[in-house]
Amino acid sequence: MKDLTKIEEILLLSIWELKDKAYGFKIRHHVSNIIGKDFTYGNLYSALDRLTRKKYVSKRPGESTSQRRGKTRMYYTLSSAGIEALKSACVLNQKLWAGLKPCSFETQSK
Amino acid sequence: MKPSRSKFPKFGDWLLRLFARYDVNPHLRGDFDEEFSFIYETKGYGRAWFWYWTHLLRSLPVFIKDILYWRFVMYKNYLKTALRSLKRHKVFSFINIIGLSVGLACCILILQYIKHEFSFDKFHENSGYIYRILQHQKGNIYQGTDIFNTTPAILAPSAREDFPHDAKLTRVKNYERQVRFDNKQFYEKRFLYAEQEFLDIFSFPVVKGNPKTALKEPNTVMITREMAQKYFGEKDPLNKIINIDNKQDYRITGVLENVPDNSHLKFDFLASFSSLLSTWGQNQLTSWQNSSVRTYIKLNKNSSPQKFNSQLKKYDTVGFGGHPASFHLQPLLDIHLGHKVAFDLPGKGDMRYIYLYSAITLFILLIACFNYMNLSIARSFSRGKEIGVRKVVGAKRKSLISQFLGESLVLSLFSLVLALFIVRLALPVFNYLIGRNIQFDLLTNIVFVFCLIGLGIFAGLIAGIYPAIFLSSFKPTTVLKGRSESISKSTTSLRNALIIVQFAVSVCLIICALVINQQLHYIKNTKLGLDKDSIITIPMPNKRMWEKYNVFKSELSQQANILDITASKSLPTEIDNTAQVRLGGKNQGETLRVWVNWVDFNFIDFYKMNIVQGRNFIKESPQDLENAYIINETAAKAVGLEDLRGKKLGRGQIIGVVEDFHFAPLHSEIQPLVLMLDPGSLKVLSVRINSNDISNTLSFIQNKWKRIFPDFPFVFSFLDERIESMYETEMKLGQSFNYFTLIAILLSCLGLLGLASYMAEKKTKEIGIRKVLGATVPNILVLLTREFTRFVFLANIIAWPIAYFAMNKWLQSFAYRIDIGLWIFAVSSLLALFMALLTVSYQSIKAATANPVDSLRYE
Repeated sequence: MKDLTKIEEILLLSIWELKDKAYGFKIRHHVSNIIGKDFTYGNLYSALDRLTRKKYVSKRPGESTSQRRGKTRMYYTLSSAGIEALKSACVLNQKLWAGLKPCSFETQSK
Repeated sequence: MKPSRSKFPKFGDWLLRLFARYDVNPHLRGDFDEEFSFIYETKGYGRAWFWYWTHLLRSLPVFIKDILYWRFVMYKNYLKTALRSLKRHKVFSFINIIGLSVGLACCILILQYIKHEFSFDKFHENSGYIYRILQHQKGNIYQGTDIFNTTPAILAPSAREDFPHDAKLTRVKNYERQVRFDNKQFYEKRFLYAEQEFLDIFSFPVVKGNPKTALKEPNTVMITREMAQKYFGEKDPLNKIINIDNKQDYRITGVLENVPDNSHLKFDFLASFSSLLSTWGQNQLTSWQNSSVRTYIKLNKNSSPQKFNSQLKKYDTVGFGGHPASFHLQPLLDIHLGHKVAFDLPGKGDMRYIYLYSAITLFILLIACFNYMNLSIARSFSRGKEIGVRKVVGAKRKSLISQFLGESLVLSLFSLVLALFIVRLALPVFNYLIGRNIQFDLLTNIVFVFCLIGLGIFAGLIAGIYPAIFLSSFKPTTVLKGRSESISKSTTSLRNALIIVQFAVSVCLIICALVINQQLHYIKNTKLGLDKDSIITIPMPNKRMWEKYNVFKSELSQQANILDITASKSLPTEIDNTAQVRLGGKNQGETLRVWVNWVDFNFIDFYKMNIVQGRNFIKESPQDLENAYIINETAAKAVGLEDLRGKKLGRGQIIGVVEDFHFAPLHSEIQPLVLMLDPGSLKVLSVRINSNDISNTLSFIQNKWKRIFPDFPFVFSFLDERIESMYETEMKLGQSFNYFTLIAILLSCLGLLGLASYMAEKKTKEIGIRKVLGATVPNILVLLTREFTRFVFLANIIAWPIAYFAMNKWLQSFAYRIDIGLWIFAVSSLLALFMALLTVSYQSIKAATANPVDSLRYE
């Protein structure tokens, strides 16, 4: 299995966290908050498509609201492969950070 | 507060619908709307609107990138299917690729030709302001026109004096000169005299020397790079002295770049005009009668051709033979392709040839495209299933059209590559046929590369558009049920029309080729009225040489293989001097335009012409040397048919009448001619030799020449070859038609071959059943070939009038011509029919002799 890119990891985590509310608008806001930058719909859907093709997420159309002028939401949920990918990413991260105190660079630079 | 429907950005939504990914399109637009309403409710319309647009514009690049990615994947699929279908249908692909590449190769060559023809004289910086002065001598018809490109020598100096602020002028005079440096001596045909302004008006780059002063002094000359190499090798030619005509010494004052092929003025030597003074004398240079120089002019920005034309009215004068002469400007850029004028320089282009070649090329490309259309449509029923399946799976008509167009584009681009190879191979032949030297170098010409790709795409579209529309219109239910025959029936009429057009073009070309070749044959075998065989001609342009003429003559006559020798001003087939003579007798007061040749006394015997009345010249008779004229029959008729003895013409005494002979190409009728004796005007030697052992005789003559004329180059030509070269244009036209006809027939037959094999395949079952029911092999052959025979007949009916009209027009340019006989039409029709049947027969015989069991066993 290929390693996830950072943005894929963030997206998968966001979808996981948003649970059954994971659709375009919400995911974009969540990701933008995390990375602290405006994450565009263009990038979002391009990345979501890559995840869909890798079968890490599945999509299903949902309900619509009057704010959306009748256009339905597209909900994304993690597939089992997606969860596996997240797990291995988590292990990799832990290995990377093992023995290091997170965010304590000040001490190191002494 | 929620935004009302009208507040949503409509144009933005439309843009998104256009560019956002297909699979999530509505959801994505929904997300945009939802966020828009969210910001609208919290921060107001302005902010929401601003967010919508900035976000949309930021997202757009990614959307577009995605679209391109998917398009590319789709095109990859089309390309794959296209290549697969090319590979699977080998005969089909072969026919189409060969046809299209030959068609494209023809197109590329013709495009190059047209480009070259239109580029003439454009390289001059001021080409738009340069003109040549033409002289109109009303009524003085010469070479089919009364407009001359030569002007009096005094015209340019007068205009320079009268209108100093309007224009720059230069006189130009071309000569053939003998040039000698050390032991190298040659006749140089491209020897030009011009004034200092020449280099100012035209942009011929100067490599060495000062262009401001190089042509000022008399007896100075500039040479081209090529000539510098020829005479001086690696040495510096500047200030070297070359000898001209064994008379004068010219100093070299500069080196010019070689004159480009696309210049109408071509020269190797450019001498100062003032050098002519010593040979011409002041009188000639200031005479309004000496119309032998060309005048070029560059108008200043403050003048205009209209204005200058009216200024030229001042110089209206009386020209040759009392015809009124006036002058007007001709733009430099019109010279190469413009109307014919008298004394045109060799190598002039002809718009008619450009039209002709373009039309033929277009026809050939069309034949190739028709082949593609025909074969694609014929094949359609075997592709019906593929189309049906694609449609059932969800292919839209638009995408099917682009698939089939893609296939034809792949094919035509394939052919384009092959065409480039063909062009490489055919270029020498083509250059020979059009008499030009066109280079073909792709790398230096990016624009041309794009033109080529454009051409390939154009051909692909022409060939593919109809089949694409037609194939994509299939209804899946019909084709998948296997009723494809009903489809192919609906296109039969179009297919037939295409075949008929193809064959009409071929038949047309066959007729033209036959007529042209017949006329050429006629020209070659027409009795000229003189014996032209085994005669070599040696130019002796210098007067000094004629002092030793008799010595040379007696030296030569010692050799047994040299039968006779004579001399004349012009060769009897190329007489180009005219004069006006006053008629005597009852036509007193009238003048007659006659052609004149000055000859040696044995000229008539030498060329085995017949004296029909009176007598020949008598050797060394002072009377004859004084004023004896021998005229031809046409002149005799013009003078009056009675007894001519003692009759006068002008100041000459008519002593005899010679039988008419063709002293000019067969384009014009025989004109009145006068032969007279004048040892001082002779210019060319004719030697009749024995046709065995020519090379020994030639080397004998050359040895004698070297001894007697050590200062003059030995150059010779055979008279019959010179005569043939007068019809070079026609000969080359004939050859081009032969090539083009061959190509057209080949392509038509290739198309027919492909079609025939599909027809035979389609009719396999029908043939099987017919055979079972008792049809014989000939019966079936007739069945299979009947249709094609009918096409060829229809094609003939279309082609005949077109070919007749065109060829009749062409033949009008000859005063002596063949009649277009019915047999030419019959032969070309039979030829076309024979070719068609030959092509079809292989498939037909195979189908007719097949065992019906094989074709019917699956029924």
